Amino acid sequence: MSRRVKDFFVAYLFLVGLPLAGLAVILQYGRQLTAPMSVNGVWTVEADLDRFAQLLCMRPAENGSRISMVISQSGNNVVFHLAGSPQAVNGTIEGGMVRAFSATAKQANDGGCKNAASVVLAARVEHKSEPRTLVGSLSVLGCASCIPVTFVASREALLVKGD
Amino acid sequence: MLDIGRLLLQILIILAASRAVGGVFRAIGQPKVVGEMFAGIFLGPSLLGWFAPKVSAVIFPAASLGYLNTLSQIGLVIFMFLVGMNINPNELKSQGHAAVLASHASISFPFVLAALFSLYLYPRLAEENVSFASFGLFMGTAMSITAFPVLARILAERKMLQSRIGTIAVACAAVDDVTGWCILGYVVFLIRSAHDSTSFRLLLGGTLLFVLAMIFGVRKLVGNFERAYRKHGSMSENQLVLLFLLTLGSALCTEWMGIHPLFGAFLLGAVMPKEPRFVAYVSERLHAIVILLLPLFFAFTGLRTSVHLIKGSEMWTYCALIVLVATVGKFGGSALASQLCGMPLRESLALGILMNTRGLMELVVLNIGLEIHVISPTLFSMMVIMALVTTFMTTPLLAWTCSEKTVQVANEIPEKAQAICRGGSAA
Repeated sequence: MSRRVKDFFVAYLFLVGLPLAGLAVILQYGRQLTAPMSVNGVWTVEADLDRFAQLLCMRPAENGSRISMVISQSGNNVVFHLAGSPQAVNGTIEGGMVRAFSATAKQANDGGCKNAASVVLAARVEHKSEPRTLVGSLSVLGCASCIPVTFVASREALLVKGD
Repeated sequence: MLDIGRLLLQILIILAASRAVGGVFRAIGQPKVVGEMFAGIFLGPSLLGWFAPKVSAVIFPAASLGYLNTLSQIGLVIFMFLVGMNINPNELKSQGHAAVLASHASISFPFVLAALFSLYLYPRLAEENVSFASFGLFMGTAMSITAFPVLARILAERKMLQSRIGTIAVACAAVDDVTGWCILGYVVFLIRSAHDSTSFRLLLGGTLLFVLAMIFGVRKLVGNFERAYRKHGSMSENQLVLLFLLTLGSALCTEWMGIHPLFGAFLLGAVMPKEPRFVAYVSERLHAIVILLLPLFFAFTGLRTSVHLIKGSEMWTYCALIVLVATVGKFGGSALASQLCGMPLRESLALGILMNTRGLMELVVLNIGLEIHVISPTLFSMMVIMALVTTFMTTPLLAWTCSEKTVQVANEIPEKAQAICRGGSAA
């Protein structure tokens, strides 16, 4: 075998053979990884809505103990938007836990929210339940006397792709 | 219900916009098709939907997009048939082993780099029900594909089609596309037959049977078209219609099998006779349909692409990394391989730049990925940006790298490269 032929085979091994062997290793390693859990969609929240509304500077719910919430998701990043809330709350999902933080709740239109504060939403995704549910609480940062509001949310529909 | 008035308005606006933007891009030295791709994005939520949401909602309401998609898919089926027909992997043999190495490296290198990058992206941007294997293989395919038609157009416009770089690039792109489509077919298999080994076996068996039937049966049959063309110097209207029907039939078969209609159209094109005059004749006849319907595909892609889904610095960092990894993999792999084969540095760089052109083929691959839910709308938007950036950068970088002096005719292969190719051939 001439030196040139050897050069060709060495180059082929280095540029094609080696990467393909690497691909097998990558695919094997990647099997351990998990993709972000899907929380994207329209959810119905069940909670003490008066207190819920108070913490988020929203108008109190007019009917019953349910409120609609839309979660849009881009990978690990999620954005919560509660029906009637003046602002969206940004958060992340890590494993099965969703955490969102609203820097400062804004004054509601009716002026009923005098003590604007930072609100933290933490919830666990019950991914085995059908429909998927979120169980968590809403609390005020740095307020020992504020009692967190617990809630349960169930997913009603997925958001249409591209929304 | 079909609103014919709205559909006509949509087609009118899309064609007008694509011609106008295509013209502007042509004026700045870009191929027209790049402008048409951008025009599609401009008509979507990224620009029109952002500046004039009400106008966008009136012209392109979500409920009306199904018809637009159907029309664009017909154009795409014909386009993929033509891509398959214009691909001739045998050309690679005539280029010696330098091209074989460059071609294979230009797939394997970006593919593996993309799979490696997927280890980082998967826990951050993947869809929940997609396995890593499907995600990694799809990202690999999407980052290693080359836009064979756009590449040919760029080379033709720069009068480089007959140059050594041109012939090697076209041959490499042909091999890339065939390989890319085979891998993509496998990814679609994985997704469609996930959790069901019976349907996987059925799908695999059916596909193998279909491919064998195309290679050993239909290939001989379609040879009659070329014989008729050689005899009469043209094809009759009936023969052209029959060819069109065969294309639709082949697309329908792969659609029924659950893969994708574009695979069938591409495969029929690939088994068509490769006599250059016949290929040119058929391409010319079907080109008019493609010219009219392809902008609809760009617009449909644009309507699915929203840069607003890429929110915050973290997401834009992912997007920038995607562009970087795609460029390093494709450009680096091709340039390095041709350097190792003894090609001069400038030509190696030029080949790397050419192979980094993803263009329209990338958009086709990405749309399939979105349809089978292997990528999310956010990742789709990032990948579309990558496709646009890598395609847009080709012409100026090529002009910068490849001076008139560098463009040599195919036969002027430097001594060292010739020696390696001869050595490789002897092996």
